[in-house]
Amino acid sequence: MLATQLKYDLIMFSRELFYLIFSIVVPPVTYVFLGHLVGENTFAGGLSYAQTYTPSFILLITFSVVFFITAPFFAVIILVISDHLCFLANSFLFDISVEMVNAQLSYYGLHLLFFLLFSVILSVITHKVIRKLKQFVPVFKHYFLFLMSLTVLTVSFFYINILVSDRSGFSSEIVQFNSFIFLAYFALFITILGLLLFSVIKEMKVKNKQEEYKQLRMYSENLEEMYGELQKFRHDYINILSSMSEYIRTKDMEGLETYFNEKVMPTGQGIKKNHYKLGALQNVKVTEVKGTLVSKLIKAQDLGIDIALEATEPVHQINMDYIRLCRCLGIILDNAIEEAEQFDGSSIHIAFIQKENALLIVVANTIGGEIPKLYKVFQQGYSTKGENRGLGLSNLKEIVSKCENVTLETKIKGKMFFQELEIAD
Amino acid sequence: MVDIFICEDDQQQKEKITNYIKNYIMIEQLDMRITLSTDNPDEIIDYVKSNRVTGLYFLDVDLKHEKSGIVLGAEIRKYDARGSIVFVTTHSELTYLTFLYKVEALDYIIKDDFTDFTAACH
Repeated sequence: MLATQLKYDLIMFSRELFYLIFSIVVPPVTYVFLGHLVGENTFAGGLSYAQTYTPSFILLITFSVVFFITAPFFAVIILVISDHLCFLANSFLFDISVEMVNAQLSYYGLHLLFFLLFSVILSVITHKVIRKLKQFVPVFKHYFLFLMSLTVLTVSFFYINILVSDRSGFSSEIVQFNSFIFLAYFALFITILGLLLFSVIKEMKVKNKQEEYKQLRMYSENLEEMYGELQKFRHDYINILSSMSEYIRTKDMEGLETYFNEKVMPTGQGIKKNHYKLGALQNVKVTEVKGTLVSKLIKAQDLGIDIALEATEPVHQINMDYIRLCRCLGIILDNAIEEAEQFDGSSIHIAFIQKENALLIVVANTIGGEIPKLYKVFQQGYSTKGENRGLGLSNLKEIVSKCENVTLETKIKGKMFFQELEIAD
Repeated sequence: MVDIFICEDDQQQKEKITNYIKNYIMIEQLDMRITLSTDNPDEIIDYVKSNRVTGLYFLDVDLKHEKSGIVLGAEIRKYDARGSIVFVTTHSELTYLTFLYKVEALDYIIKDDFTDFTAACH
């Protein structure tokens, strides 16, 4: 589990040129640059530049690689902050000054230990926060420029600070002063991010509500349409009954037979080819899920796909995060619709089936063309629909793997493609 | 010997199905008999509970009873895991997946389409 996660992260990491530059290129360049600037100086304890900074930079690079994977930008900041927190801790707890740290190996060891501890703690926190933030990625895109400049500002601030302090020598006063500045800056940064996050979440909630409202309006419009058709049918029905009673009154059995076969039977056929597909939706009581279903059902109907929803028993609640569930359903249904719209006479069945201690959601669609190999379907980048596609199902798998009580089963039976999402209560 | 059960709330429909099956058994000389033809799902449940049978069930989906045909089918499954359940339905929307997953039904027949009956019996 952890290994696959790491592998996935590494793949994502290597794809991002930006991360690579920041973690592998930038630190050595800075190292060489600083060395060029201050390399001639000797540092406290008579150590040369290389002796003082090589271990830190090696650490920096390793940490960046590891943490850029999950926390881009923040790695450098984390490291600098933890470094300074170490100095603060050292000077407050053990009364060890910066000079002593650099001079004695045991102090240096202690310092490194603290450094590791702080950076691990901070990284874990950042990691958690970033994981949480990932679901807001689309919203954050609006603020991308702002975040970008903020981050660049922060990073450059830290680098300049290091450079300036280095120029004037890392005396303990300066380091302590820096520590306070960094802490203040950190607090400021967190506050800004927090405020941003707050407004983003609010905006997203409003958007969700709007979307839900739109879907429900579509639903009610559809229902009205259905009701209108039903009215029309009732009118026809009364007409039919009265003309039939007229035939019976005059005992015109032959006339009745022809009338029945020619007029009445065809209306029956018309009812069967119904447009009342949203009827079963009344049993889905979860508004969010209903909304997703409505929008997809109407989309499919507009495309002329024969789509049917079955929910024989009412579904009051589903033991899964609704946002995740809606994303899963959206992916599954979009795939089904995309497949079905390519071929005539294709159909999609959706069913909500209440089992003894689980809810089973099944989506079955017909396959028109070549039947894909099942093991390939879930691979990232695989798609039957050409290039630059195929993220849907691998995303779906990722979402499902995050929920403990949810399993996804994919089957191909003959010309039908089944997706079964089982959610345990 | 295969036991055949029929559950259908409409008297006329029930007789129609029963006759159809009776004739079919006779013509094809099958080793089957109609054990129960009723409009009350509880009767079937009681019978299946007290007798070990592997039956063939024809169930109407929309029974005028608190139990729907689907619930009845699911209950029959508890006692008779190997029986074949066929739904007889007017529902044009065909709750096809529900039959399949909830009851593991063998097949379904649309009521006005009795030619399918023969195929379903096999």
